[in-house]
Amino acid sequence: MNGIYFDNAATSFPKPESVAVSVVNYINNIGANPGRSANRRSIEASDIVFECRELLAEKFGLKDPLRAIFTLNATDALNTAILGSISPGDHVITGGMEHNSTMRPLNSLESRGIIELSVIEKRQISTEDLMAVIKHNSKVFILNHASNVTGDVQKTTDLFNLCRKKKIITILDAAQSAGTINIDMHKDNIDILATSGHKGLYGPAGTGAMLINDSYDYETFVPLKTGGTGSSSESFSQPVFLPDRFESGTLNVPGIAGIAAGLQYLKDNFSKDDIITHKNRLREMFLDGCSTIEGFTSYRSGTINTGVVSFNIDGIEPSRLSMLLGDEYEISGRPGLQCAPAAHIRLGTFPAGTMRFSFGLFNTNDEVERAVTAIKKIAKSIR
Amino acid sequence: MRDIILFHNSSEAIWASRVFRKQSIDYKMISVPRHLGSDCGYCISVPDSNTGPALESMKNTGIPFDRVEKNVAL
Ligand SMILES: Cc1ncc(COP(=O)(O)O)c(C=O)c1O
Repeated sequence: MNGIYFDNAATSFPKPESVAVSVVNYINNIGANPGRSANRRSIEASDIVFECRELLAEKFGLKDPLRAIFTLNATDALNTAILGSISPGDHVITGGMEHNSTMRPLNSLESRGIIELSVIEKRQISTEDLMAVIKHNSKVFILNHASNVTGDVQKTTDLFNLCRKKKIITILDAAQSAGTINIDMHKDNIDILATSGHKGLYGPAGTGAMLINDSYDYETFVPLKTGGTGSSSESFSQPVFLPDRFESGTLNVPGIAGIAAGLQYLKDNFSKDDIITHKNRLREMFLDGCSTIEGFTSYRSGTINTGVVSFNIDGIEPSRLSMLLGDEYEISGRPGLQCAPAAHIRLGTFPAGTMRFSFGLFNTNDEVERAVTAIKKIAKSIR
Repeated sequence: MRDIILFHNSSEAIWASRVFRKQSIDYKMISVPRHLGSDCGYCISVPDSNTGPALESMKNTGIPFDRVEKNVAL
């Protein structure tokens, strides 16, 4: 299937070839359950899983690879982080551009009277904004690093420094930023980082990770799921040690083999700012190309961006625009609210939403030019 | 004779094995012998002359472990 894929914020495509090779190699040649017995295949499977932990730890500045925990996706990592770190009566703070994978668990906790919640209703949050909502029982600050609607990156350094001083746990939703923005959990004072494995890290769909800072006392952190770990099997209690505390049941080894290949590909082929530079070049090209279109609005701000653009054309619903782009030009983006109604409320685009293009490693100038031409034609056809 | 290094879980054991491989420390990954634990996971058997360097390299890397059993007949 050909066509242009601009939906990398949902999941990246295509993946580097080595990702599928690695997944298939595990399925066809290794196959065993890691950590469950000492046969050669099981050891090889464990080795692949551990290699991925090492690559994740290195990517996000962790010393201890055992603190890289595999999850189903970023949503699962966020739920584990949120539900594991709060207690009844805690005050929780979050930002104004959050994805529903943060808003829904928080809203559920608040509506059941378990937590108090403050949402800082801003696109960019300042230390003054944060200071204004901190209370004596503020326990956790959860923040989306980069909006999946606009690509805007939230500056976290000062905010998280303040949290450190106030002994507030920091949880970063790095679903959109991981692999694109350089993150160091120590320098950036991030206690828990949640990410997808299938977006900027280029692993297969349905993968994710939760990383716990080397200095974070994870023993106070309650696991969301418990079960068989292949360790301490004589006990009915969940082990305290990592990664078993947060990893029950058989791991998604094909997926993890794929994330490892994705991370290795990024490490071998790109240096620090290459990826963000590439994505932003395409984004700027697209925005420049569309700037002369009558009725074209993009919701840009001056901040660093992950290569995502949300836009609208007067007189056409995002869902219809998406259909025309798909049917007539084979261009895939994502219309609507992108699972982030809070962000659209901030932008003033709720409830219809926007059309979103999110650029990836393998998109080209030519594809952007073709998309600009397509949008010009569609805009003209409705005038 | 050989000693056995026991870990809390197989992830720690795998981590140690990766470090031993890099540092050419002779080791063998084996199932935990029944009389030493009830687990289905792995432990590492090393010639007793290697136990010191193996533990030293684990300490330097920060790899947690449970305990060492000396002179284990396999
Ligand atoms: C900002 C943000 N957080 C969380 C998620 C959830 O990611 P996943 O689909 O891996 O659960 C997404 C996915 O689009 C996202 O954009």
